[in-house]
Amino acid sequence: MNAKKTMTLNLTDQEMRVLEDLAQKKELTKTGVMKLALRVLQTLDARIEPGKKLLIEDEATSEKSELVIL
Amino acid sequence: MTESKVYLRDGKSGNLIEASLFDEVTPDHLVLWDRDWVPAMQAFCAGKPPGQKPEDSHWDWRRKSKEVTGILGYHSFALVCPKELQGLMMTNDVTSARLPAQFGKPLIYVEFVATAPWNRPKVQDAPRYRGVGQVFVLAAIETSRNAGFKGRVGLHSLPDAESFYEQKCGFTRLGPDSSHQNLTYFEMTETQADAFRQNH
Amino acid sequence: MKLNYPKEWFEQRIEKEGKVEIGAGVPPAPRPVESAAEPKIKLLDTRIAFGQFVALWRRNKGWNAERLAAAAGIDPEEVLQIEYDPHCEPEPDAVFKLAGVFGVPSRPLLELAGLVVNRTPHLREEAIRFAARSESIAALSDVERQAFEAFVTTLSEVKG
Repeated sequence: MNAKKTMTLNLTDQEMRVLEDLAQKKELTKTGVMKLALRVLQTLDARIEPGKKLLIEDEATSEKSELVIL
Repeated sequence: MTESKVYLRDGKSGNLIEASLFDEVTPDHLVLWDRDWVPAMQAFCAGKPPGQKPEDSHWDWRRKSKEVTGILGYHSFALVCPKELQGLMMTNDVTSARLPAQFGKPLIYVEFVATAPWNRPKVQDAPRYRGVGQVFVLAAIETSRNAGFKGRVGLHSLPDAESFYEQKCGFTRLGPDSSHQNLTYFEMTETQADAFRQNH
Repeated sequence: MKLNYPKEWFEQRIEKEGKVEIGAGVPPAPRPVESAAEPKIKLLDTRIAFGQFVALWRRNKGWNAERLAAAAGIDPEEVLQIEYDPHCEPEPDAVFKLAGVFGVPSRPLLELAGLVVNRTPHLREEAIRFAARSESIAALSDVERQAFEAFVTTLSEVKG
């Protein structure tokens, strides 16, 4: 159960820098960041459907800005 | 699916009873939910005005469970003892911490946790089993550690359970959250999780 | 995720837990309160018709609210709320289940209950006419029965 598969990920220097920064900020391994990214993307993708938007709200000002449509 | 051996205390005899924690809610558990939990909840709610019903009386586990099937970021847990469902929990691992000390770091967010109606002091004066809350907090902490989140856990407590999370489990209270029906948000750090695990 | 903790761990912890409530998680959203005056009136009159329809359907069968609730797998209280309280928004799940028992498409019932946007032509007018012709009395009169049957036909013709 839960057999794992390995893949090689080719990243540009810039992508690798972002990955390393995120790993440090989130206190995760680089693999952990990639796995989290996959989970977040899948969760959002499952929730977003035509007619639904993803918003970020500023608690202080109640200002809402629309995030990308997935 | 993994089964772990845990213990609850029988409310009547006071004995410790072996129970099973499953890290996935299966159709068999949903059958138990429909068979025992739902009728017990309906019987308790019958004739009561909305304000006196448990907040989760309308929670439809079957629907929720269907919604998150196949979504990697969600985990569900069932506690069974001896052949009855004693508690359910659903968590996600796509939420970030809010406490300044760990802001933005991923944690296990408890979307829902409940003990069966017959284990609630509010429903039944002498609860059938005690200790369901501890098992689920421990499961959330261990899930967090397994995911590399170091035991960080967050949740919105129902009003009656706030003292349990703050005083008995050691969570930090962050105050009412207007985006979550004003429920109080609690969070646990790595240090608090370690203290809980070591029974401090 | 496997827990490997000794029996003593649980024993000590349970003592600390005591007899407490432990529920957490945001309950299903509270029933929305309609704000604009006009939609409220529209919503209420179709909801009255919905309640009337549920009451007449079961009386036509000679069922009490409990029996209908059992057949649909919902709370008897929910049946009574639907029948008597048009201010109360029913759970979509309950409406689906009732539609199943009645053998009519769920879409027009959801529209009557104000849970989805009304898009079936003339449904509201038909519903008001039906509600106006029926009253909650013990037995179904011939007039009520005719109104009831005509409305069942209307509902059944809606493409779900």
